[in-house]
Amino acid sequence: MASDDVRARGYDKEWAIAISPGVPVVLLMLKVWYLSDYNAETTQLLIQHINPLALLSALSLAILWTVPTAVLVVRYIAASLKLVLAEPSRSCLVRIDARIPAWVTWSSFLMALFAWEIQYLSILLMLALALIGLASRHHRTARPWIVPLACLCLPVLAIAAYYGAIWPAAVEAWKEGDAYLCAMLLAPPPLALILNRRLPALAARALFDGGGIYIGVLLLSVLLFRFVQIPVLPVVAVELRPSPGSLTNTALTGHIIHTDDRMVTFLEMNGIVRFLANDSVISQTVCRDYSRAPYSRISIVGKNVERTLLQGNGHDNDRLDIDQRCYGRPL
Amino acid sequence: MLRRRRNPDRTARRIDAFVGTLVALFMLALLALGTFAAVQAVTRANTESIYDLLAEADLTGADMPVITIGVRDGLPGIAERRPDGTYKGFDVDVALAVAKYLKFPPEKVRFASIKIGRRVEMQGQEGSRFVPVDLVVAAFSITQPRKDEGVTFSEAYLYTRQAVMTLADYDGTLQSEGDLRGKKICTLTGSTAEPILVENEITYIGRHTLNDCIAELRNGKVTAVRSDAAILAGFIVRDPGDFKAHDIGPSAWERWGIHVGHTTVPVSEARRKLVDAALYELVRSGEWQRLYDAYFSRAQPVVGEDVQVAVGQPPTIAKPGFRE
Repeated sequence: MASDDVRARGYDKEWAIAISPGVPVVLLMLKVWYLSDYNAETTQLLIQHINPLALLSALSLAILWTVPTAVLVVRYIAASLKLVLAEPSRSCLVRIDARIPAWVTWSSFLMALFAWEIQYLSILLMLALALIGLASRHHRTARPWIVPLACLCLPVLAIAAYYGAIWPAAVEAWKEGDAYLCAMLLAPPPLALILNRRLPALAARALFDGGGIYIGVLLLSVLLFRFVQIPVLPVVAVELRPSPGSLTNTALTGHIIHTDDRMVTFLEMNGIVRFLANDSVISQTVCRDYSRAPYSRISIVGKNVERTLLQGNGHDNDRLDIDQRCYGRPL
Repeated sequence: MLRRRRNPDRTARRIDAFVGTLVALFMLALLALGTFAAVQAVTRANTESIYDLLAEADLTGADMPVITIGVRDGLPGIAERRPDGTYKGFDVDVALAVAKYLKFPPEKVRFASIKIGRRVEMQGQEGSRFVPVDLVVAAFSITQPRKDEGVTFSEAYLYTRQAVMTLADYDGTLQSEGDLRGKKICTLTGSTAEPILVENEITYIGRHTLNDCIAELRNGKVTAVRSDAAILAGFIVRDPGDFKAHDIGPSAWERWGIHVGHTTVPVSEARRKLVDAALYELVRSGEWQRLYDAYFSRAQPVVGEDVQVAVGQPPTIAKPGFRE
């Protein structure tokens, strides 16, 4: 009877699998809606012209960091629960974890290393050290010497090396009054020394049951927000011949959404669509996309803390920064 | 005598419960921190960018092909128009750095001479023609009366004090406001020195330019010229051996700021944020120190040890709260 209930509950959840392919479509629609400044006609125009591949690649870029995040969080919670629960397999997260091969974990670490912003790599280090510590506790009966090594010596050495690398940036953040960044760089790694311990059973169960759902909702909210903001089309400026009654050239900044042999369909930064005759366009240039502009100017080993290791250093910004057309000023 | 024995199981349970509570609190704190970090990440990504502010400040678009900045003329070391029409001085270099931050390269910056009395209404001059300027970088001290008149000031970019300057052969003692009484002083009309002279009942004449004051000093019509030490230093360096600076005791700081627009103009607030950020960058990059060394550190030995030309520490300016 009980197994029938469990099976029935499982069947009830199959609708979620059925609708899951619809989630990216909804996200993409939201993205286009945002890009068109919440205007229905502009949204329709964009849907007509924007390459779905561009949108899909934006979606992929946006979710790249979430895959390793989800894997590592699930692995950590499951590893903790396995240490404290009498029947770990009753936990949904432990069952999911059992299906994740070891190579996925390592790949997730690598992916996170390159896809997470540098300022969040402190959290990655914390998770890595916590997971290594918990793994050693699982094997302590066979190799008892491994526990102090993995739970104390390794974290202390790794944290010391990490602090050596980021200390100047943390001090600079503090001097600039950016306490959040300073805390983000310094605080997470030492927490691994607590997270790699066996938690009391009741506390672990209570926190991970509710906490897991909470973390999931939190990550989903951040993902949604970041996805809606991620740029799909490059920012360009077009310089135009003087309009009738005017003597000076003008320049528009925004996105080119379509070009044919007669017209350029141009979406300005403020969401206004313009149709520009091809012969009115004198010149055009790619501009710096300020929607990606970092909040902090602090760098670690030459890279801005809000960039990922995969991203370039933005050397082009200096060149793009001075092109007057990008600020609506004709040359 | 019965001795109560401690139950080891009970003690262990208590310790376990205590540790459990601590760990639970720790995990809750961790979740709270995670939430805070997520909120911060979203808030920061949603903060306005410099581009948004430039648009808000009306510094983009075809109407702004160049930026016009009002600077003083005839103040050696601060702002001086050279025969070829270009300007040179500390204020000029500060103005160029601010313009660069606002995405105007040097060739897109137009300077206009601005008289001391025209700074509040931001009216510069190109020859005999008056032109409205976008910014005023003109040895303009931040004061409450000026703010009340509607001036929107940036943060201060230079700290100096008032001093007086006499001919080098002057052998009297000028060490206080009292020493100035009974003597005739020349200062700029509308300057911050004027109300102090009035308050201390010191006889003075007002002139539109310091060169006029210096002419009066040279021909003996006045005993001394009063102005900011950083301004007087330029004349002492220009004509070495002709003048002498006197410290007249501690006076209020003269904090030079940039006038970004009248308070009633909607774009002024966005311009103030941008100019403050530009000054922050000027200090952060070390450019401020380089300019100070070039214009004031070299002047200090010529002026002498009595009068400090300007404060050599870079001004403290808050980090801009937008994405760059």
